[in-house]
Amino acid sequence: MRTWAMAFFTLRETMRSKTMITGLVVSFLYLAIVPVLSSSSGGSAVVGDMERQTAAGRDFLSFALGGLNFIGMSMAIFTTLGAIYTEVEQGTILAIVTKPIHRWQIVFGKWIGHALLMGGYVLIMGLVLWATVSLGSGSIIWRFLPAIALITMNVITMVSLTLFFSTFLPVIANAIFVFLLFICTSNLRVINAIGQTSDNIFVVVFAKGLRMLLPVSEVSDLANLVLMGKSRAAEQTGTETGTFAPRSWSFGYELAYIAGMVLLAALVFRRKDLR
Amino acid sequence: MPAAIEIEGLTKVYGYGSDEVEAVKDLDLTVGHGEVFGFLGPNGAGKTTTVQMLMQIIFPTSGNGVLLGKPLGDISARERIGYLPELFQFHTFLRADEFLDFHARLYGIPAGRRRQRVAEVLEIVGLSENAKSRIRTFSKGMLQRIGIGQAIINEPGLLFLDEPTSALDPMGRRDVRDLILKLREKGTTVFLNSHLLSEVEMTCTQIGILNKGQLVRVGDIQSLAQPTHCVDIRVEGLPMETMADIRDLATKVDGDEKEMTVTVENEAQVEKVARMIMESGAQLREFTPRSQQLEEIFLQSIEESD
Repeated sequence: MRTWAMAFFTLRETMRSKTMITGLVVSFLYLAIVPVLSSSSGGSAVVGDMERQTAAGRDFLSFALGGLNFIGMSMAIFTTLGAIYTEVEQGTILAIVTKPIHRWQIVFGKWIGHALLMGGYVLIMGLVLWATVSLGSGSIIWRFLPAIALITMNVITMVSLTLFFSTFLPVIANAIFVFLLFICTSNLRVINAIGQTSDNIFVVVFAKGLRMLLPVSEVSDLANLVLMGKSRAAEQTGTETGTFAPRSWSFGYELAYIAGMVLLAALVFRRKDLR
Repeated sequence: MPAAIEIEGLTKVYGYGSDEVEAVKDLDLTVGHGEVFGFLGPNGAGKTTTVQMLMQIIFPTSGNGVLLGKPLGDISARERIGYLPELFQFHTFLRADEFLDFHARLYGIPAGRRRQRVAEVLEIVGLSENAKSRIRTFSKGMLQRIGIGQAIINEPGLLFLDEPTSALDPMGRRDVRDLILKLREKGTTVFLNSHLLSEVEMTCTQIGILNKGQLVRVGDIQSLAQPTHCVDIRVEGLPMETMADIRDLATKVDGDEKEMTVTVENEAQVEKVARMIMESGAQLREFTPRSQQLEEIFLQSIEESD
């Protein structure tokens, strides 16, 4: 009951935040302009016979999914940055930690609140896109459902990572750290290529290690692979082969990663002096 | 029955090496059930640090404590403990009733009872009319009241109040005092951190004085008050010669031969003044040795321990 009280409180608090409201405005703008962006970036228009329409619809969804992944993860970071640190800094945590609630329940409750909100947001946005495309193309693209589930998991991963850092890092430091990690893991191939070109084994190993440090990039590729199929994904992005091809077990690793981050956050917060 | 609060060797050290600061040093303290305990000390004495250690907001470097018979941090004990932090900060987007409802949920109060209790507490802290107002619209005094509200929502057996009247006007202070006295009647143990001596004097049954992290005095105000060798006297028919003798003996005499305050150097001289009046044949109406006021006890304790 106490964990849920914390979760619903966090949900309400975050929904009212300016960051969330700004994110929602950006999302609606994105929904409105994504068809334009999709066609101008080479995506097919949703016209023609059924097979072509399905392929075009899938291309469109793939493009939209990429955008949703980015917006969702960014919003997850921004809304969770001060989840714990700001409460400690402002002193609002004092009346909470002194109630009959374990500290891990506070962390877990906050995580549930943020994860429900951001996960729910991405899921709803994805389903709206899916329903729109399905209605427009006249065929239901079932592969989109596991893909959007993976993207939702990505967003929850960012919530978990940011929440963990918020147990000890101030908001700005947390933002810099998480975004830096996010940008690095989104450009693993570039880092790897730099390592190979310069014949620097450390950079190559670093790129491979980073992949495990934050699995969202690999799971994004996996989502695209699930949606598009191997050959189309290869044509589109070239991510299905080579060193950084998505591994099927990466989503399992990501689940364990989420659990690990929440556990670490609870451990750090458990004996922390809140002054 | 175990004491409401038992502290043994509680110590808090901040920093390392040359930056090390001992905020609280080897604190031993026992507060009985139903006591209203005033915890006094100058700024930086370690009062808030002590309370924060008891509430496990910060963790002791060494030592331990027991609250309501359970070790520090025990969740079941916290169900019967209320706490108002110093300079309480709020989630201002909530309405007053929502705020209290949230804290009642954290106490695990069942839904049916919760609604009733929220209404009761709003009444107690005088915010019934503001139940639906957002906390961000509250004045300082109203914020302090709602803060007290969340601390008593669970009908605590032990209540920690850290500077509860710091933001209140005289009427608000009186209300808090009345509330503490009501809680005392109900048998609630109150641990009151305050630097307002008058407030402590009016409400507390026991006091502890902390200076530089160390407890320098503890006990009830009467037992801590030392005789001042100062006596209020009302007398009729006191001969001029006796009055002159008293003036010779005393270090200070204020007033006239009918009503005076005499200060002497020791207890024997107090007795001698009484004897002189009696032997003069005058009629003694009042002879009241003055005790130290709390402020004097406080200042003396701090000066002695510095």
